[in-house]
Amino acid sequence: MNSDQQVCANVQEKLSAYLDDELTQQEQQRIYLHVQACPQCRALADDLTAMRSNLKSAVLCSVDERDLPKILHDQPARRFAFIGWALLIAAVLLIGGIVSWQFIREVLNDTGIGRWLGIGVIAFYVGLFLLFLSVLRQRLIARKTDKYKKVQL
Amino acid sequence: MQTTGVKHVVHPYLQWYEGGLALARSMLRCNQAAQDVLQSAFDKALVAKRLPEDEPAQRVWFYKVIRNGCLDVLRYSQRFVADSEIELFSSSESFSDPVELSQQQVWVRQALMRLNSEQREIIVLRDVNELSYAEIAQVLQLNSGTVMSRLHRARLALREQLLALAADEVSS
Repeated sequence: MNSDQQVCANVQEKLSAYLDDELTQQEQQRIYLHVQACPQCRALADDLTAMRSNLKSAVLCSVDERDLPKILHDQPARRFAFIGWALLIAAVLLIGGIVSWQFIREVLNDTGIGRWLGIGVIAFYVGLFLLFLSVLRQRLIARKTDKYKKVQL
Repeated sequence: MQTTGVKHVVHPYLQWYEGGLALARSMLRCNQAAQDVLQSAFDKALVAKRLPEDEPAQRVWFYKVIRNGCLDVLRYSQRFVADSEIELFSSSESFSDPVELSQQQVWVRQALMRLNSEQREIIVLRDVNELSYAEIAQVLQLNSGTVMSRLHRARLALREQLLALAADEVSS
């Protein structure tokens, strides 16, 4: 019995290395045989194996996915985003053009509100649009010349 | 500085981002500090003149840099906090995050945080980053026999902590 315990102690000392496949082939074989035969050592080996697999998922999946640059560089997502933006801009231009054309025609032809008031309303909206454009332009320039934009890590 | 012409090149060291972050987090027990260490490690990887040529050696180099960075942070914070148990980093709250984990995984993580830093780093290097014993020996500057025994003791300690946690759960 005492010698059995001695054997178990010897084996358990190398059990981690056995599970990691870091022993020589001969020792690997010796411990394999013992683990097959000895329920106590097998229980320990099973415990350690289970722990090891849990550990990896527990510690690794804790990494916050938001700070992984590879999600941002996913090619299909970028392509979809590009197509989406292009369609959106085209639609806005088309609809905006038609609506404003109709609007201008309505206002100028409408005899009810007078010609000067009509021009004032149009100038008001055009002014708003130009202000929007100026802000947009500033933002775009700021974005283009941002030298930290491409900095990763 | 002129940045035109720079394409979105994924730096080869980025493949070890997750593992390195896991290592730094488990050493520092603080997500923000760990990310800072990672940042400066990547900085070193970009600036360093002489880097190892082959990938395994680069990986060892990278983990060594991260580990040294963590040790620096710990040493620096110990200079101001008299306690060896650092308040800032021992709060497990900063380590928790919204990712869904099974109960078993939560326990494993809690148990890991209860080990000492020597045991934490060796377990994370082996079981999370899957370095070989020889590589761990290089990172920690030990010989591989020491790696083997230290890793085994660390795993046994982790198992004990897990059993203790499970017992706590049952009794409460």
